[in-house]
Amino acid sequence: MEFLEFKKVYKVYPTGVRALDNVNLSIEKGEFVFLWGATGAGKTTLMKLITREELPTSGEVWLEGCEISALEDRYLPILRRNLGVVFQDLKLVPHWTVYENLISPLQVLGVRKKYAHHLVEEILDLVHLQDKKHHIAEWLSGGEKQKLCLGRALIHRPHLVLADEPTGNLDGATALELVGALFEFSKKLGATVIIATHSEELISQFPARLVVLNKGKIIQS
Amino acid sequence: MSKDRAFHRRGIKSSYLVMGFLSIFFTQLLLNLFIFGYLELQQMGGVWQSSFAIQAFFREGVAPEVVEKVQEEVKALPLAGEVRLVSSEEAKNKFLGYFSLQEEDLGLEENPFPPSLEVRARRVEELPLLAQELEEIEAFEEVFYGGENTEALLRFYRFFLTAGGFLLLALFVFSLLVVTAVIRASIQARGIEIEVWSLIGATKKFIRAPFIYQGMMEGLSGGVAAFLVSLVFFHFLLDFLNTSFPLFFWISWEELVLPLGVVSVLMGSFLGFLGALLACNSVEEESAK
Repeated sequence: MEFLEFKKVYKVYPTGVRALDNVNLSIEKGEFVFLWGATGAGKTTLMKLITREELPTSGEVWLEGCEISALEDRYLPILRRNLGVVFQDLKLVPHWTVYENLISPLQVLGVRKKYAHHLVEEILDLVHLQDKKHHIAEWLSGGEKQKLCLGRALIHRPHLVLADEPTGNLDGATALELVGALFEFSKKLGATVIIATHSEELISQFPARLVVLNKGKIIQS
Repeated sequence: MSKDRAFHRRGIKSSYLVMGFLSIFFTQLLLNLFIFGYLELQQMGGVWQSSFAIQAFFREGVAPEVVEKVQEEVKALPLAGEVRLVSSEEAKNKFLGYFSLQEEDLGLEENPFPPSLEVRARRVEELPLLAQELEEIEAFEEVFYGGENTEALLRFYRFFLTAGGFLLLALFVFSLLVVTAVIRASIQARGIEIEVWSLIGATKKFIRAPFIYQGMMEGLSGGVAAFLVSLVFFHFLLDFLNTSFPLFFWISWEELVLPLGVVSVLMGSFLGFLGALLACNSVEEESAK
């Protein structure tokens, strides 16, 4: 049984845009995967099918033996609690502090305050935001926000991390630092990581599997 | 600029809290005024009850055992309160006493005053209904009660209770609408938070909880504040009324404390809870569309 599997997945938006076209893809547990493609290739749609922000028009998406494309809405929280997601548009709560944003997944999981606080401290060290702990998220720079979003995605140690263009607005060094943190996380905890990117430079820096998307089709896997 | 925006967002949240609090506070104040009016009328009703009684006169020559039987029959009526038999002798003495006469002044060989029953209603507003029931009893020749003045007072009493009931209902609906609208706006203003909570796996219950809590706290604090303000207000009002109209039957301040406290706290919290629940449902329905 594959860890994550797309079987004959099509996605056509109501506007008529065909975002995914017969996608078949299998990803094993612990793999570090770059999903590469130009803007509009279908990377974000593929990610959204995993988080169940979108449903496929046809086909199946399986995660750890569970068909998430057929999952009832009431089970969505359980699926999402087991994912770590770095959203393309970050989805941070701007008026919350760094600490509040980071601790939110742990609150959802019902982690005890003391242990949650300890985990926040650990993740602040990992993403180098220790000195910004009590800053309002909106006050942070673009790079700091990306780091905060990454921290929130990793804090509950998920089995699957999805990062949609996590280095979009970052300079080369910060981008490398961020993806490096994800790579370390994957190696250390055996987590599966999928990073959607259009940066060829980034891909060349890490020993990872490359999946290439073009106009909704997988052309290299 | 962005610092300003962050403060602005926190400011919006606080202003919604204040609006929710104030809406419950003011409606609860109105409700407390109504409660005062209602309790005052209850008080007056009690006084009327002892002042107004139905006088039911037996037919001439009615046998004493029939009088006794009818008295028991009347006592058993659900609307009847206290029932007292006024004998022919007592009626005659009352008449003589009222007009300061002596028995010889009447110059009558037989006592012309029939025995009667003096009947009080359990609830003062049910006096006419009880009178109607008594009129249907064969043994009575005539049935009297207070007359037009009593009926006018009773009409006012009934009107106040009916109007008050509607007012109470209207107030409840109004405050519910206000609280729902305020919390709904508060939820919409926190749309990004709700979206993030949902994306990181929070359940509906988890997302709703702070809004329900917020509603209940707004309701509770609004209710408690209205209770305290009402207590101070009624303390001075009753002082003034007792001084200005000492012969009127005013309710005491102490009698107001418990009903006002219970209604303010329970109604405030319930309104806040219900308003928040309705607001959450409405926002969820809207986002599902």
